[in-house]
Parts: sequence; C-alpha cells; structure tokens
Amino acid sequence: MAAKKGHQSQWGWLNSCLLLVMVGMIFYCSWINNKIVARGYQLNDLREEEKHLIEEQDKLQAELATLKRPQNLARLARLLGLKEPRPGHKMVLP
Amino acid sequence: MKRTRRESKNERRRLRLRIGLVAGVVVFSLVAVVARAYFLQIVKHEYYLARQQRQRSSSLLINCERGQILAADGGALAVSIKGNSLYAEPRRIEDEKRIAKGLAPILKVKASTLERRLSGERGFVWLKRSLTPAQVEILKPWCKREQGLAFLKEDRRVYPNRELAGQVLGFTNIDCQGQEGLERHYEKYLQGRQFYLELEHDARRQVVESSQYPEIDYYKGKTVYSTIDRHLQALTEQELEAAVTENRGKGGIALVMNSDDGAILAMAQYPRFNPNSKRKNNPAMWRNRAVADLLEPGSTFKVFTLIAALESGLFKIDDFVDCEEGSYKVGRRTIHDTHEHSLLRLDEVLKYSSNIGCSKIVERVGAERFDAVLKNFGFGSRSGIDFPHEPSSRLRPWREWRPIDLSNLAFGQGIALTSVQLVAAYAALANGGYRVTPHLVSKVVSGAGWTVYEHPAKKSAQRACSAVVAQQIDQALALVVEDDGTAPQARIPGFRVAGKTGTAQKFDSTKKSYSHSDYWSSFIGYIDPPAGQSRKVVYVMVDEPRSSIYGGVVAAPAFQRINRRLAGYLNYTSEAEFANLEMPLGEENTDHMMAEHGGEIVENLTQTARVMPDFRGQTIREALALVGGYRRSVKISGQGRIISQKPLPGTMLEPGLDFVFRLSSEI
Repeated sequence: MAAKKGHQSQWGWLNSCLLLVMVGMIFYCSWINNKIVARGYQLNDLREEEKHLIEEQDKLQAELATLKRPQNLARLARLLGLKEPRPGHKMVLP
Repeated sequence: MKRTRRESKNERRRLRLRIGLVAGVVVFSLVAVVARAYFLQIVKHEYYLARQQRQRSSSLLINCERGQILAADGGALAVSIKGNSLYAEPRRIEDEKRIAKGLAPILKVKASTLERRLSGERGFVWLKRSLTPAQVEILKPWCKREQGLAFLKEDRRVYPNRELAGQVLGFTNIDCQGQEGLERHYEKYLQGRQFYLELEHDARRQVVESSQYPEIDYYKGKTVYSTIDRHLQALTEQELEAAVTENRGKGGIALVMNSDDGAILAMAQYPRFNPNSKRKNNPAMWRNRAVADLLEPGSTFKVFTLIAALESGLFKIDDFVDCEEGSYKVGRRTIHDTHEHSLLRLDEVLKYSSNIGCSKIVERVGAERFDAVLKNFGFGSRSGIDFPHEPSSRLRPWREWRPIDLSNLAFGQGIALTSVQLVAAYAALANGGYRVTPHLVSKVVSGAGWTVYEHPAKKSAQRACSAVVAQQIDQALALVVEDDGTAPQARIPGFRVAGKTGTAQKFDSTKKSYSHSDYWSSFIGYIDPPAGQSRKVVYVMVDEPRSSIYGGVVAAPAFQRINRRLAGYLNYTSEAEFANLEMPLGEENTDHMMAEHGGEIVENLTQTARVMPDFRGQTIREALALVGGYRRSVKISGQGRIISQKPLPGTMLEPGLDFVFRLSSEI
C-alpha cells in the first residue's frame, strides 16, 4: 500500500513539473510573439522614417542642384566681384 | 440511521446515471468541438485561410522612382522628388458644396468643377495633383477636419537648372512618363519598375510587419549620363540669347560638338523653355529645333562642294575658277555673287563665299560624284542622334537634278537638313575625315552600378573624306576669318580659327519663292585646341535677324564669344601666351617629344622665392608656363598629364631645387 502511494506521488510530482514547463513555455511563446510584434511595429516605424528621410534628402539635393546651377553661380560670382578667366589665365594662390 | 440495501443501490444507480449523463455531455461536447474543428480546419481550410490572410495581410504597390539625368560635369539635370496630391472619397463627403467652395481658391480650380468631382458615390477621385509645399500646409487642417479628404504621395519630376537645356531634356507627364526630349528617348531606362510589398496588419489595421524589401536598386530607374556640360551649355545659351536680341532675331540655335566622337557638349535654343512649368509655355517652344527643324544651310554647305571637287581628283586646292565678275547664267537663271570676282583659287572660293565659283565647280564634278560625297557625309538620311523626332535631311535623287538644281545645291539651296546633321558633317571635317554619330548620352548606369548602355567612345572607322582633303579644307576655312574674308569677326587673338559663314534665304511657302527679307544667318567652325585634345565644332544660327542678314556679322561674333569662353573654361593656352613662355627649344611639341623619351629641359629661372603650385592633372606645357621664370632643371618622364611632381605642392621654392614631373596618359 505504501509503495503504491509513493509511486502515485512520484507521478503527481512529474505531472506538476510537466504542467509547469508547459505553462512556462506558453508564457515564453507569448512573450516571444509579443516581442516579434513589437519589433515589427518598430521596424515599420523605422522604414517609414527612412522613407521620409530619403524623400527629404531627394528634396534637398534638388534644391542644392538649383542653387548650384551655372547661371546662379555666375550671378553670385559677379556680385562678389569675380570675372571669367581669359583663355589660359591662371592665378597661383599663396 | 441505517440505509437499507435497496436505498444504497438506488443511490449508486442515480450516481452512475449522473456520471453517465455528465460524461455523455462532455463526450458529446468534445465530439462537437472536434467535428467543428474538423469542419473549420479540414473541410473549410482553404476558405478560412484565405479569409484570415485577407484580414491580416495586404499588398502595397510600390512605384520605384524614375532615374536621374546627369550632366557630363556630374550636376543633376532631371531628378524625381516625392510630392503630395490631394484626393477625395466622394461617398464619405458630407457637404460637397461647402468643401468645394473652401478648396477652390487653395487649389486654383473652379468651385463648380470641384463640386462635380466631390458629388456621387465614387470611392476615389483626384482633386489636384502635384501640390506645392505651401498648398500642402494650407490643406493639412482640411484633411484632418473633413472626412474623405487625404493626401497621396507621388513622384514629381524636377529640373533644377530650370531653362538650362530645357528643350534637350524634354519633360514627363503627371504620371512621370517621358513625353519629349531625352525623357522620352530614354524612357525604357529612366522608368522605375513596380513591385508589391506584403504587409501584415493588426486588428486596428496598423502595419505590424512587412515582407523583406526587395533589392530596390533593381527596381529603380537607371541613371542617364548626358554629354551636356552645364557650364558650356549655360555660356552657349547666354551668348546665343545675346546674339538673337542684339540682332533683333526671331530665335536661334547654337551647338557645341566634340569632333572626335560626336558628343554634344551644348545644345542651346532661344527662346528658352522651362520644363518645370511646361503648361505656361507654347507647345511650339517644347520642340528641339536643332534636331527637329529642317533648314537650308546656305553657304555653310559650300565646304562640301569643295570636298567633292578635291575628292573627284578633277581639282587641286590651288586651281583657279573663273567667277565671271559676279554674274553667271545657268540655263535661264542668273546666279550672282555678293562681290564681283574674276579668277579665284579654290580656297578663295570658300574665303569669299562665291556662289558662281561653287556652281562652276559642281558643273565639272557632276551630279553623281557630288551626290556620292554628300551621302558620305550622311546627307539624305538621319544622323542617328539619340533624340526623338529627327527627320531625314531632304536630298532629292541626283538623277532628278536639273542644272539649276545642281548649281543651287552647290551653294546650299535646295537641300534641307537639321542643325545637328550639319554640325556632325563639320565634325567629320574637323577630326580628319571620320564620320561621327551625334549623341547626347554617353552611358546609362543601373542603380547597382552596372553600365547597361554606353556610346562607343572610339572614333568611327567610316570615312567621309580623305585626311588630305580634310586638311586642305581646314586650311581653306582658316582663310574665311582673315581681314578680307567673310567673317573677320570670328577671329580670336591667339587662336587659329577655321569656319564658314552661312546666309540662307528662307522659303516663303505662301509666295512659293525665296523670301527677300527673312534669312537664317549662321556661322560654323572651330578653334584649334592644345595638342592632344579634340576640336569642338561650334555652330550659331540666328533666325530672321533684322539688324543685318550676313552670317559673318550676325552669328560670327557670337561664335567668337562662345569660343573665347569655351577656351577659358577648357583651359586652352593661346598661342600668344604659349609664345610668352620663351621655350628655349623652339618647337611647339618639344615638351611632348622630350616627355616621350624622358628628358631634361633647362629653363631660365629667376631667384624669386614662391610656393610650388599643384600641377597634377595639368599638361607639362601648363606647368612650364608657371615654372618658366626660374632657372632650374626640369626633368620629365612619361607622356600625357602630370601625375606626380617634385617639389610637392605647397613647398617653398628655394634656389638649387630641381623640378621633376611624372606624366601619364591615363588621367
């Protein structure tokens, strides 16, 4: 009778452990899944930000190209008192 | 209180019944659950899987941006940026009348038009595309406040240099598809591709996760590298505008072409056109006249008459032609010269631009031979330029030419060709007789850096005329800018200039005869660059000038100004400046000869202390021009441009130091 009782308690102990592991795994899986979803949101936000920054960069590059257009540079150079070089005209800067 | 045996038996039976009942319910429920699960998971698997995917995931169409067009100097000519467009969902709009009235002044669209668009049960309608940033700022509160109004981001094509090379670049439509110019011709390379991005949503339709982005570079439009140099283009446009306005002309064309490979460095047109605001311009201004318009070349064509004469072997360059004192009859028609001449050498026929001389030359050469020479230069067909709408030059079959047609053709009447075709023919002459294919794009590069198209950089093997004839004509063209030639105004001090004037009467289609008031005045030619560089053919044409009609007066000064500035920009050293170097070895090419074999030149040097400049990338001639004032030993090895130097740049120059230059042709 005592041996039978000991055998039963061993099984109960094992079952409890298994149950605990299972519950633990469920929590772990849920946590991982939650993390994946959170990372997904984060990744998506970063992609949106990257897209936005690329768009900004494109706009700034277009603006830079407009400012650096030869007509504009020539106008600004003339305002600063610069002249067009003669053929072969060179100046050695100190 | 003892229960009877019977009672306990009944109780056990009830208990068993209850257990049986509960077990039955549980089993039945389990069976029902299993059956339902089977139905959902197995029988209706596909249906529910699809439904789940529909709810949880979606596809987003991504339009990759259009490729850029870059100039030869690396500057951007056409780029794409994201712009906002305003759309509406009419079925969600509550008060279309009020919204239309409010939006009309912001969008600059009639209120009635907006109201019509906003009414109805449609799910989507554009209200205004490509909004300005200011409009977006004003409209943001509207989109927050009103249901069914929202922005959508779209690609917008921008031309940062505004009018610069407007007609060359062309433009795109609102959907970013090339409509004119390079945008149209290179559409297949420039157009970005589309792909779908898979998205996963949560219950609030927020994007949880997206599929891996594909290799975006593969889908992006490719980068087109143009041969146009922005600075040369700007100065050419400026000088052309000055020429047209000074001469009160209707318009004008100017071209700069590299004679070795046909690369077009500048293609200017006046009036100019800004592709950023194409709707404000007359559609006639969109047309690139240098490629699309056929015009009679006039006297610039006489060069080919002389080439035919020399190629036929019937004439030598120093043969004389009787120019009949300015009047000569061909059939029933009389041909006149501007000035009366009797005997002229062949090169003088070109110098004084004698119509009679040319007529008499082709009479002897004959129609068949003349036609063959013209065909060798590509007349009668397209030049093959990479640009839409290029017509073939109009040249009738030689068997149909009457004597007067042949005479007219000899001085550039009765043939119609485009400016590009004429410049390409002169380029062949300038490079020693090789035909060139004019082109505006040097290469196309994919986003990943692969070159998917490249124009061959080598000189064509097809000859238009022999090298000897090309050289003789080159020398004859140099006479044109002499004091008594037709274009002394094209001369540039310190440079050898060769070119030809053209004054062509326009054909009046209403009167069916040549006009006596409307002319095309042109000048085409080149200056000699420093050794090792190719000639740049420059063409200037003013349409209907009113101050004067002669190419030598109207177009030659602009040619001169363009070349002066071009020489400054491309760092040409004029003969005068070169002579000032007082090179002790006398011959112009001595430095190259010395360089080829490795050698030593001793210069006259002064003892003034100064800082050593950076000569890397320059020619030895340019270096000698600066170090020429010092008495030092100059050692040169290799050939081409300077790749290294001693003393190093920035070193204080002291007496006793030697100059050592290493040259390489690979830069």
